[in-house]
Amino acid sequence: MQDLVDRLHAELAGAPGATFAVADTMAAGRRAVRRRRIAAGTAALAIAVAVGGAAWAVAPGGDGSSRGQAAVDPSPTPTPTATAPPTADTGWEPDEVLRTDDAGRVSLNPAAEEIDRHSFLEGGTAYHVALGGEEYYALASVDDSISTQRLPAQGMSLVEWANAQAVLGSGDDDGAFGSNGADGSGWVTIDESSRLDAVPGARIVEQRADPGLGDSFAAPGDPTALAEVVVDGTTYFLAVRSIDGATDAIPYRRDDVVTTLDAFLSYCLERYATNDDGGSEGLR
Amino acid sequence: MKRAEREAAYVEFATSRRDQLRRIAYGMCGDWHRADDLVQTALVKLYVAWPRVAHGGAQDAYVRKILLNAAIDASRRPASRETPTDQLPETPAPADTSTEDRASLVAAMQLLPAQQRATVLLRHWLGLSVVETAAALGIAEGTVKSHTSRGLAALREVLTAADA
Repeated sequence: MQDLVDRLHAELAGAPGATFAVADTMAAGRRAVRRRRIAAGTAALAIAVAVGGAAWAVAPGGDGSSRGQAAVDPSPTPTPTATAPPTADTGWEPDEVLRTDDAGRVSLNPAAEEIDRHSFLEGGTAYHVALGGEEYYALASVDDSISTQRLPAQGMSLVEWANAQAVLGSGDDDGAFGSNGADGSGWVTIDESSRLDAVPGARIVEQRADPGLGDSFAAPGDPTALAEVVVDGTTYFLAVRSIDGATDAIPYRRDDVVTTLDAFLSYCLERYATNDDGGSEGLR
Repeated sequence: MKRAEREAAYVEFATSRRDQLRRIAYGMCGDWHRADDLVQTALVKLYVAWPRVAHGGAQDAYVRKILLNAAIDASRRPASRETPTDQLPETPAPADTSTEDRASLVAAMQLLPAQQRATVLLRHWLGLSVVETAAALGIAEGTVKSHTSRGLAALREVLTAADA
């Protein structure tokens, strides 16, 4: 056998120069992440239309600080055939909400209609806007980075979503759902066979093992599951995966858009579908 | 961690692993251009998943899984990967080993089922244990052993026939 192994080593040692640069993969990765953050593709829109229109844009629950202001007139149902972007001739992308210039000044797309705004004491401002027939959350962080997400956003309020971005941006995914303590990873555990167990205080209503959300959600073969859980009387849907044996659960508070586990599965499948850049939009 | 720091960590990791990943991909597909495509796909997915993957220190295992999965998927539908083009692709520089030697073993490996190919590479080129190989491929340890044994036997048979 050693002769085969030696031969294999010798052959693979003679590699020609690579035809790509690592920087190219980073550029493609950035595009993929941007698409992921500018979330909610056609499936989310289809779900929204199916449940009756623009009510989808108003995320329920939350801390109440932005609820009242976040309400919008539900009469104009958003559709995928929205008119051409009114900002095209100003150099703004159709889904570009915020920009920062070299001096760190933040500007809002002039075509965007501000619905709500929240400034944080530690710096950074979050916006809830309507743009091109869609609604978005956008956050200008203290490090000049911009995060944008098309609604719905895991059923989160503007402040919850902005806090989640701040946690994600810090590189610490734990508890990224927001400041209200809603961290799905503390509600369930997942075992090697993708079975979920609830921790005290949480109740699993329904669960599905290995929903097949793809490589962007979990590495092939890793345990994954979806579940509907009830915590403190509130219903959440969870997308759960195991990372090095630790349970990572992404919560979505049930809202008018995603009302059943089937709808949550459809929503997750679209969010984690591989796009042209090899990435996906993801849930957060 | 700020974005610039995360990206610096990603670039350092990707740069240090690129050649190893290319060799795994080449062993899986037998073509350096396709190998580069597979590695790029895997690295882009790694970039997207970097915050959670790096947080757990699982970068190597993650990118290897993605790469092998992509290679196995590609080997199941080779025709779908071919697209007409007006331009000839850039020709890679010749390898250090002779064309005859390169053709023999790597070409013979392409005759193996994809998972046998993967187990031979992981066990006998990367030096992973049976347990690590099973985890990388998402298969049972017994399956790793049988795939490796059959793969090596098949390779020896092919090479013996070619040398005769």
